[in-house]
Amino acid sequence: MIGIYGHGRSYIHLLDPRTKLALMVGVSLLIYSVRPLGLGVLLGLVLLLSRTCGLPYTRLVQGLRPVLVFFGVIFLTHVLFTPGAPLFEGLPVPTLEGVVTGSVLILRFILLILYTSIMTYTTSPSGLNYALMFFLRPLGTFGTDLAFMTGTAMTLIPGLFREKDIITKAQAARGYKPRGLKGFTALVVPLLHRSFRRVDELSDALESRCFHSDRRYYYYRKTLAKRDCAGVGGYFVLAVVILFFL
Amino acid sequence: MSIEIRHLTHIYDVGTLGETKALDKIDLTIKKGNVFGLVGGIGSGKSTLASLIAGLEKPTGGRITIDGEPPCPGKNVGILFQQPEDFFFEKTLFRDMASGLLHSGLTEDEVDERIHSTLDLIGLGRQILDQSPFHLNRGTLRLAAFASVLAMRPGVLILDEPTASLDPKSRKRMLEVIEHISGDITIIYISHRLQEVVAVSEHLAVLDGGKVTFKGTVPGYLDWAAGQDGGEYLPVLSQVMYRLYGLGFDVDPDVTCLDDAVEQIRQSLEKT
Ligand SMILES: Nc1ncnc2c1ncn2[C@@H]1O[C@H](COP(=O)(O)OP(=O)(O)OP(=O)(O)O)[C@@H](O)[C@H]1O
Ligand SMILES: [Mg+2]
Repeated sequence: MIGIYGHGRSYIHLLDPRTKLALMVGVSLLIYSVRPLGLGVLLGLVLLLSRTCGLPYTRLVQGLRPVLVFFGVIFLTHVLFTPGAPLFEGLPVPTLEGVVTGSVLILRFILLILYTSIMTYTTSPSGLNYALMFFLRPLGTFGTDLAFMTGTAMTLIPGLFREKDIITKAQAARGYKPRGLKGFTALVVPLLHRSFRRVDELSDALESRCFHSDRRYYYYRKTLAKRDCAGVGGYFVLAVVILFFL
Repeated sequence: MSIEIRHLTHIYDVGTLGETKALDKIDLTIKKGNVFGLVGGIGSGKSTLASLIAGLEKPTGGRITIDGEPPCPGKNVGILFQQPEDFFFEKTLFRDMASGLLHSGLTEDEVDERIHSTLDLIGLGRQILDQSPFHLNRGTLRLAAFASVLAMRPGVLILDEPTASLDPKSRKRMLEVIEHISGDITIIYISHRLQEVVAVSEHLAVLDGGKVTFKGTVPGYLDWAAGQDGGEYLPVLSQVMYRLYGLGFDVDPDVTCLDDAVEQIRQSLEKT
């Protein structure tokens, strides 16, 4: 699931956060440019990576659940509005082309989410924050601010899931299982309320640690290791193979 | 209602690197109408056990039955969360207290009646009903959460640290209310305040690293705790009584209530 970090000492865990972020960008470019067969290779690779870094498949798949509706809508639009050869005789839609383009597009989205899950699972929030800051440094203060905001937002995501869990438990404790639209508001209103308070507390906590926007220290200093070069090299080999040979 | 817990094991985040075994093959029987104390160090698994008995989570192994039935939150079991602010989800306290009651099928008049009588029992003013639970202080919030579960009249009531962050007066009131409702309701009382636990409960269990290291009656517990290294598990009053007993005073070291202890010391001094 995106935003949930798990400690570990696997090869991917040990990669420098900067390498991982750069590779993530590289992989995203691949995901959007390769042909369907290449997508198959990328899918195989992400399953392999999840095995190596100790993220169980069930957890990996769980990350897709929140966006299922979104996928459904995209798929349907493609199926219904792509012109082409009809699948069923006498009906103008669905078309074969629609089903194919829809599935490929969704596979691209799925891959993007799976790779992001792997990255957030193997990179601590502070590491990710540091990597972002490193790459946004050319933008000056604006860059560091942006990196800080993104980093903080990322650390708050798992908190959001925890809050949701707590609220559903509180409701269950009163024998109350809200469903449908009513259930949605019954969850979202307290969730917003609690999240705003959490953010408020976070800003107090930052201030109490003398955090000012004009002075910032990061204790994260690392030089790149051999495995980082190996990772980047591996990426280029992969990219060349799936872009030119598949 | 009586509770049977058999070979209960609970593991968080199974199959991940963060896998934690919170409970390890627990067996407990909790008798109907009793107050059952549950003590143990930080992270020993008390809250996990509480949320399993409350039916809010499914155990990874073993089973729990309440009068032969599986736990059904809001029906046969109620729970007061360790963090009272986690308990509320409505805009006003009234709506929060009413939500569970309305779902259990009471009419609006009955709901009003229930809420008011419960607040009176706990000693909370009615003006609190219009306030937002998100703006109350922690102590009041805990009392309000207590009122909220109590109003549902569950057969089993789990109280996770009910007296934490309360002032001495509301703490005394809370213990009186617990005393008053036990008998009809089976209560599980979790606390780090040993003095309260031994005063209020009939039976006790001690958890350590997810395992039960002691279960039995209160006098049995005091004997067990006195035999442990360091004696941290002994409430302060019992530590005093054990010391006096050791010094040759004619007192019963197993007394759990201050008045009885004072009376015994007085008599013992008179005799000498
Ligand atoms: N939601 C959770 N996810 C993962 N691990 C958890 C979760 N809740 C508790 N744990 C772990 O399970 C173990 C038991 O925790 P639990 O909260 O039951 O202890 P406790 O006895 O209630 O402690 P305390 O006295 O601090 O309230 C701890 O190691 C804790 O880190
Ligand atoms: Mg606890």
